[in-house]
Amino acid sequence: MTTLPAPSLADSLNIAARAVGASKIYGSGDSEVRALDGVDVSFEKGKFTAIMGPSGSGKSTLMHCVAGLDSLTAGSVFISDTDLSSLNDKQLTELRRQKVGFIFQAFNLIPTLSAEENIMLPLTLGRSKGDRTWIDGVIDTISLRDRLTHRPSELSGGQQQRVAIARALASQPDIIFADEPTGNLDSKTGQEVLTFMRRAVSDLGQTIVMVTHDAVAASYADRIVFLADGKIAGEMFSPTAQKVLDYLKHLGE
Amino acid sequence: MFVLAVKMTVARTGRLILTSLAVILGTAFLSGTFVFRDTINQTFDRLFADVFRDVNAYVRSTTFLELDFGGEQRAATPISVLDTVRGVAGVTSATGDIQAFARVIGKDGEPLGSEGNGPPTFGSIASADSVGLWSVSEGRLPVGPNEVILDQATVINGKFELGDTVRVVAVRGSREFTMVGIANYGDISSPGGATFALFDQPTASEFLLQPGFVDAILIEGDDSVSDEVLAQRIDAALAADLKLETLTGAEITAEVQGQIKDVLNIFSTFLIVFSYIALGIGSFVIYNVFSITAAQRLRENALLRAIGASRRQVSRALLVESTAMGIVGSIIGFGIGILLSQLLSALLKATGFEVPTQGLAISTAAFVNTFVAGVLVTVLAAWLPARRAGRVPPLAALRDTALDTAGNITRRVIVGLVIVALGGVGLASSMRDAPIQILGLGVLGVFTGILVLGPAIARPVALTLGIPVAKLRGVSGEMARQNAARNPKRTSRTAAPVLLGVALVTAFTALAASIRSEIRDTFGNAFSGDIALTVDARGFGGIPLSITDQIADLDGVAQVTGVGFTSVRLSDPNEPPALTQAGAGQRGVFVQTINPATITGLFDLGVTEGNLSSLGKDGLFVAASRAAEKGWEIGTRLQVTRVDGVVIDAEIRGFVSGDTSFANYVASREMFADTPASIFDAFVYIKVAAGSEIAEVQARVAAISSDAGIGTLLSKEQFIDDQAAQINQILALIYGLLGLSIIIAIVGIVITLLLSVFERRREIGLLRAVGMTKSQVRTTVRWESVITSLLGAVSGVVLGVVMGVVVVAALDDEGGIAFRLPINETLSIVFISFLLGVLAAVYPAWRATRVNVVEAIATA
Repeated sequence: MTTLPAPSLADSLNIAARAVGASKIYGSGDSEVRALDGVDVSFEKGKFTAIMGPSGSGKSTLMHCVAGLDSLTAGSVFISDTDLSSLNDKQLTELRRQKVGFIFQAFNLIPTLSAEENIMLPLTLGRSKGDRTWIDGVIDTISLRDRLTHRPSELSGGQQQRVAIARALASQPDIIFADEPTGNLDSKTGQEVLTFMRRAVSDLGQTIVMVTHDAVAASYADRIVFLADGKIAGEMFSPTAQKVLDYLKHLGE
Repeated sequence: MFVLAVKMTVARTGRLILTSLAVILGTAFLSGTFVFRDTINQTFDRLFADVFRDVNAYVRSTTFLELDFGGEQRAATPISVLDTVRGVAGVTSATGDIQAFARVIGKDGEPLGSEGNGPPTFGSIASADSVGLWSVSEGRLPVGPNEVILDQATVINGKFELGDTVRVVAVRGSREFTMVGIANYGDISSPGGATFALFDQPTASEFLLQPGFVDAILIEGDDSVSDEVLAQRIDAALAADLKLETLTGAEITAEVQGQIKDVLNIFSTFLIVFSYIALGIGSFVIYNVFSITAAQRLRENALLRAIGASRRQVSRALLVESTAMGIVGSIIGFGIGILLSQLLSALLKATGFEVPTQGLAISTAAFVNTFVAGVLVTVLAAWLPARRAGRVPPLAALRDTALDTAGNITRRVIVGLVIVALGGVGLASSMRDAPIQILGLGVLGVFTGILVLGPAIARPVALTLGIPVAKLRGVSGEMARQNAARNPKRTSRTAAPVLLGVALVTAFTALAASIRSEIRDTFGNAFSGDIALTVDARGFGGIPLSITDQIADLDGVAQVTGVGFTSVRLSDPNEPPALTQAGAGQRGVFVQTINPATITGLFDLGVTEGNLSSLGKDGLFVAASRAAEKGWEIGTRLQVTRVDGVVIDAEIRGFVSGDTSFANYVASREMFADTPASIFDAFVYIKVAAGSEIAEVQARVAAISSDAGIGTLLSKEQFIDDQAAQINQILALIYGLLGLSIIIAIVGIVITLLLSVFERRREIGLLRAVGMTKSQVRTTVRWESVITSLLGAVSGVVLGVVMGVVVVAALDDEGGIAFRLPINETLSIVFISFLLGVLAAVYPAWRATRVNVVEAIATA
């Protein structure tokens, strides 16, 4: 079992987001559920990190809390050097708009807006035009130029997720969170989407944290953090699907 | 973001139109009444401008009374003034004008024009002078005391031909004339459905008014000077003691146009008030629609929040949508309103109240009013749902099922009960003589409290109402029952407009039933005769006194008395004189004229003090409540100014209860014996002599009345029914107008059901997949609709009955009126709500069967 070193000050210079002593408790007394139980974890800039663990391990809760969508019971979460617990709703909203990108499992796009309008949405919400060269680069990277005027209902599932990736990238956020982005896709389309995410990190220098239970999906990451029962159960660098499956088998024992 | 919000709205155009239905209907009623009013006004404006085209100046008396409802009654002008006017330099032609009551009797003996609520029936002068308002289109002008000409429409309706004998009733009685011609008013054949009988000037003066007098003088100039100068010259030539004034043609035209507008505006204001009520009820539907759509778009709004939209941006997107809905709805509504205004004229025409309309008057003001009201109501109704949408947690985007924000039921019940209790206190105190505003606030409080309580009581009540449905319709019925109860907020919001409409209808019905039975009791006791001859034309025309006298002379008649109305100006010398401009009229009051010699023992006026035989030429009896209000006592002297300007120093000689007198003041007909102003009877009460058959006497009276072509002959029972039925006319109008609100409430149910069906399409698909038939799906939707509409109807009836009890108690100052529950009407209201529930479900149920099973289950 590998132990995780506490993040040093020097490390934090290269850290996009981190959680310190993060606990999330639902209910109280007998019905108390510790979804997160004192988790310390940090996510490095310019890296693709996957969070894995069995159902109920707290992986989604960890992501929601680090992303500022949910609040912790104890401990704190930092994006860059900002302590999220010190922010009010308005500041959290702006943080999500400027520094965080999201890709969900499904229902990523506003059905009444075209693909391009969906991509531009976080920028539009902040009344910003964004960096056009960057956005054009993103659109080309995910090969969506000929689909820009289409509504989500006119796109395939894979295309919809690519639009979601483009939207997450558009504002050049500090970090992108993806929640089972390939969960609703067949394996071929899923691999396509994962390839685009990998390129966003390798070619465009973005930071992505992805929650998944799929070993193949996790193998696209630079590093995997394993969670069990609300605690960090280990981590793995430069994973392959086979290594991941072996590790999970070992974790289950 | 604004641009995006607009795009998101436009992308949902289909939904937009559906959800705009409530706005469309509400604004359509509003614009319909506006356009209707403007069209009538424009028609009359044009008509009078045309009629007074050749009139350069107009001479009339300065003495007049302003009547309630915007009319006026003016003293007559001596015909001798004509010669003076004709002598003024610049005058080419002058003629007398009269507009007085005259009713033409058709060949079948029935009077033309409906009594009371139709357009007026006039008698006037046909003059050879070009300035006269009438021109002859066929035949010739009438000459001498035995000739008449009629307007075109009257000739057609009465099936008259030139040379026919025509019977006409006017102030001097009933006479026969030979019809020698047909007349046109301005360029049109008949103005506004009114009937006209025209005579030469001496005949008209004698028969319609008073020998030697006319109502006014019409003057045409030679255009050598302006109308203003001409009017000044005429004014200078008139003797000062005649109290006459001269108006220019433009002034009299504007005044007549204004008068007709004042009268019509009372009616249209009434319509507009109810249109606003309908729009207000529509705002509930809008509120509901927005609440539902906001809930259905929960994930979408949460996604927006997750990727960085602020609460305000999410709210604003919804407000942009509501504004678009308001704009689109109001514009469509305005268009439909124009059609509705046409329907309204047709409807009134069918009920015998013909209003002349030519062309369409679509004014900017009507559009702006409708538009602003429509958009404002929509945006306000969307305000709360929009705010709520902004508060969606971003995490909701990640959940599969929509969150049901049940809210804090306990808090809701407490707040609701407190508001109801406060309203109840207001209602209770209004029973003990608190001002009427407290009653209004109390009603408002109870309504608001019920609406707050709604979601808390909707579930148990819907479940209870659903029990028989579940028993009767098996599993479909049980599902309908559960569906109606599963979103109590939505169900109660959908039922709320029905509740408001039904509560108002029930309260008015209960009030009317109570007043009706009260009237029956009062008149049953007051009237001790056997037959009554009535005419329903208060203030304008009626039964000539000569006919009352004729009836008194019949065989078998023991006693006859006539009761009529006139207007006078009343001033209390003890009060400081009102600041009135010279020549300006004051408000007149209605005085009931009676014959003290014959009324006792036949009709009980409810004298509380004094003896009617003491009335004489200068006595007054006053309603006790009015006297108390003014501090008047027996012996108080009041100045009565008659229409002809004669001032009578009158004395209060007694009090009446006011329950069976139709006016606050009672005077003897003697007070008006020497006046040129027209005195008519409105009621003639008849007692049959002992030993005579009522039927025989009634036949004899009928011979006289049908000879005169006036009045309706009623038995004692019929008379009492007739008095009680007067309340029905008002009730019918109120029903009709509240009907608008009910229609909107039903549209609200349709929209809610459609949205629910859309929301549950996966569920419906699943049910269809496991073997539910289309007809079972329809049954489920239909009964959910019925339960919802019954929820509104039943609670509305309960609320309406409570309000009825309170209002009746509040109105009942002296223990006269008792509350009566109109059981048949109440049951009909509930039954109609049931039918409307079935009706509202037709389209949504059909849509529910169209759900594609495979797609519904497959789509996430």
